Amino acid sequence: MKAEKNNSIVELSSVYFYEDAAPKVLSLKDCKLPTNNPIAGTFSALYGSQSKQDGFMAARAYADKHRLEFTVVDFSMDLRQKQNALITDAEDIQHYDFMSVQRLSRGMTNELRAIFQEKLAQQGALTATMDTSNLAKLIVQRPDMMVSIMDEPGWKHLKVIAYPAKLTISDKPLSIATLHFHDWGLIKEASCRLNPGMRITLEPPGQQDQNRDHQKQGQRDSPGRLKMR
Amino acid sequence: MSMNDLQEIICGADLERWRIENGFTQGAAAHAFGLQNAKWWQLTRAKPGEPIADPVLAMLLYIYRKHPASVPIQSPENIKEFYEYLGLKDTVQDRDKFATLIGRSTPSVYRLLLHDGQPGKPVLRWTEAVLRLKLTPQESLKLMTKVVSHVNVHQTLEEDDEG
Repeated sequence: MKAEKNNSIVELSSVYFYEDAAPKVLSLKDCKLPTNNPIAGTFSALYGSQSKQDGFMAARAYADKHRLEFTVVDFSMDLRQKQNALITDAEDIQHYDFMSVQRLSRGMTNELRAIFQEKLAQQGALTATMDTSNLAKLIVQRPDMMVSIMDEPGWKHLKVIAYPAKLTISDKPLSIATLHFHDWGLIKEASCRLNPGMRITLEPPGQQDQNRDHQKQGQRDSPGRLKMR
Repeated sequence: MSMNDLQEIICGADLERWRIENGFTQGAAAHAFGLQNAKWWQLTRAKPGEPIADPVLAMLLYIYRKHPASVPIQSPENIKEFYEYLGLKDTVQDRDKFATLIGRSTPSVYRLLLHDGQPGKPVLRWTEAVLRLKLTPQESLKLMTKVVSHVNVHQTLEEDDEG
C-alpha cells in the first residue's frame, strides 16, 4: 500500500488473533475490531496513528495473555472527499463522506450532542444522572447511537465516521472508524503488515455475518468470545 | 545462538513487528536501527516480505529481541505520554507537581499538556535520563522529586523555551 497523501483515501487498520500457524488467506470481514458494544451490520477498525499504535500494543498484550499470535491488517477506502480541516461546521459536513467527531467545531459538537440526547430520550435511556455535557463520554457509552447518527437527515451521506470507543482488548478508549456493510465496496485494497505472505481477501460480509452481529449486539463482547483461528 | 536463530531470514515485516510490539514510533524505530524514516518505510511497508540485505540490521534486531536492555531509550514523542507514564492524573495538583518535576512553570505545563506544546530539548534530555534508568514509574517520581529538592533552591523556573 502506498504512503501517498490522497484526500479521498482513508487508511484503517485492524488486528487479528490466531493460534499456532498464521493462515495463508484471511478475509478482511473476519478482522473486525473487537469492541465492547458490537454494532450489527457494521465494520470497525482503528483510525489515526496514535490509536493504531495503542491498539497494536493492546493487541500484543492481549495475545501474550491468552497465548495467541496476532497480526495487523491494513486496508484503504476510496471516498469522495474525507474531512481534512480541523473544524467542520454544519454546512461543511455536506461536502464530506468521512467525518471524525474529534474534529468538529463547538457548534457541530453541540448539534451532535443534541441529536444524541434526543435519541437516548426516545429510547428511554436518558437518565437524570447521565452526564450529557461530554459528547465523547456519551459516545463511548453508546457507540450504537453514534452509528445511528449516520441515518439522520444531514448526516446520512456519511460513509465512514471516526469516534472514540472502548475495545475489548484495551481499557483506554481508542479512535475507531466504522462503516456500514453496504458501503463495503469502497474498500479498495488490504494487506497484512506483519505477515506479508498472508493474502487478505475483500469479499463482502454476507447475511450470516449480519445475523451473527445481531446475536452479539446487546451482549458485552468478552475477550473469550473473540473469534480466533 | 542456535542454528534456528542463525538461519532465520529477517524481513522488513519483522522490523515492523518489533516496532509495534515495543511501542516505538516509526521515527524512533528508524533511529534505533540507524535508518532514515524513508528507508524504514521502504523496508517495512513497501517491501515487507523481502529479506533485509544489510546483515547488521538483522544483528541489531536479534540483540534487541534477545537483550531488551540493549534497546535505545526513546524520548517520549509527546510529553503527555511521560506524564501518564509517571501515573499523574488530569488534575490541577498533578499538573503543578509535574511543572516542578520538569523544571518548568505551571503555564508551560498547561501549554505542553493541554495545547499540544512541544517540550524544549533540555526537558527531553531530562525525561530521557530518567527513562534510561529503567525505574518503575513510582521510583522515577521519587528520583525526580529528590533531584528537584537538591537543585531547585538555586534555580528559577524557565518560562518560555518551549513552543
